[in-house]
Amino acid sequence: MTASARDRYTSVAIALHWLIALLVIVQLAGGFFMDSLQEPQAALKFQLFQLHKSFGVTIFFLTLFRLGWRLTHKIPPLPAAMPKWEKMAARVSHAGFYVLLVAMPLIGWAVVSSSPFAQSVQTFLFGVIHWPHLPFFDGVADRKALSDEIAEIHEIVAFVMIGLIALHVAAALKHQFIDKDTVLAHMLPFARRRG
Amino acid sequence: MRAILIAALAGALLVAGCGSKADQAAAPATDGAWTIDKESSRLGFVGAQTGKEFTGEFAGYEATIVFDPDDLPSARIEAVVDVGSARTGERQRDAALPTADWFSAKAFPNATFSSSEIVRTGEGAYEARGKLTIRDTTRDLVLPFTLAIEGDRATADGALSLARTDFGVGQGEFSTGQWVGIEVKVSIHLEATR
Repeated sequence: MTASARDRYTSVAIALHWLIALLVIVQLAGGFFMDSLQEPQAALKFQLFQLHKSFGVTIFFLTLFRLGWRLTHKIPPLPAAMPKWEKMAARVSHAGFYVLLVAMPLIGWAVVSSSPFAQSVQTFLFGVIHWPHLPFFDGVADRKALSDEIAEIHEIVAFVMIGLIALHVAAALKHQFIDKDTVLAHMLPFARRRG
Repeated sequence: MRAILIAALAGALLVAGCGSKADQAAAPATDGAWTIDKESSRLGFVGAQTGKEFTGEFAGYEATIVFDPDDLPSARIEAVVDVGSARTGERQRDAALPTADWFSAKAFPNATFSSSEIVRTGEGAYEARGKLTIRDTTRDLVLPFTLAIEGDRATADGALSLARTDFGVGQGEFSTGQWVGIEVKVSIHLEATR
């Protein structure tokens, strides 16, 4: 028990990692897709925006829970053979994910709340739970300009996220196939330790 | 998006009945007056959001109806619709309708229709002509309806189309039909007793 716990992330951490990973990929693909839709697909576009908001809030809360879990549970140590800078890079990139996973939903929330449509398009998560707008945008004169700017930032952060995911995946594959260590196994859902 | 609304209002109108000499002073309880059977009546509307139609209805409305087919000059319809009672089967739409961009229900809680004359246009067919007020805009309106009276029970059906923007329903980004259709079809089904 202790040995395997030390070799892997906890089951909860593993579940959260893969669930959030799946949702993030859905959000990235869905976000760019819905943004590309034109007027003839207005109905689909509208529905996808509602779903995007719902998933975004879901990721936000899953991430908060995950952060709490991360801070209260031990994680497996990185291989002793790893150079110090690599260890540092791993920790920094992981921290970067947490920052992005919290920031993205908040920025998206600001996009929605500042939109000229905000009053008429209240957010109902998955069509059911009312989610309020952020209060800071009531007196804004040119809501469209502001909202568009925040949306621009939302998109830029999406690209940063894609870059970080690429780095993360590349590092995991390097550990698995070049270093041939146990790093990827730490996070795999089914215990598969190398001998 | 939202939809639309408008509607209804007019609605309420309807019905009728017969009555006899309408006693103009004592409005409600005269023999020319009809009482709406809310259970069987419906003040509905159809709008379109991003090209897709949706239906809704107003649960809150009251109408004073004095109607005798043999005494049309005395017939009149006064209807008041609680615009905050519009329901379209979707929370997001229902949350938007009372806001300032749409009905602005806080500032203008009621839409009203008041007939100036009711004329017969055919066998069992009539037109109620009057004024419809939604938000702070009043416009002339003609509501065609059919009416059948059996004993002390009357059934009336009416329908008309409104341009929501004629009444300022849908401000700003919604003053065009890009997201929410301009036309709103209002349908009224009233059953009343006397």
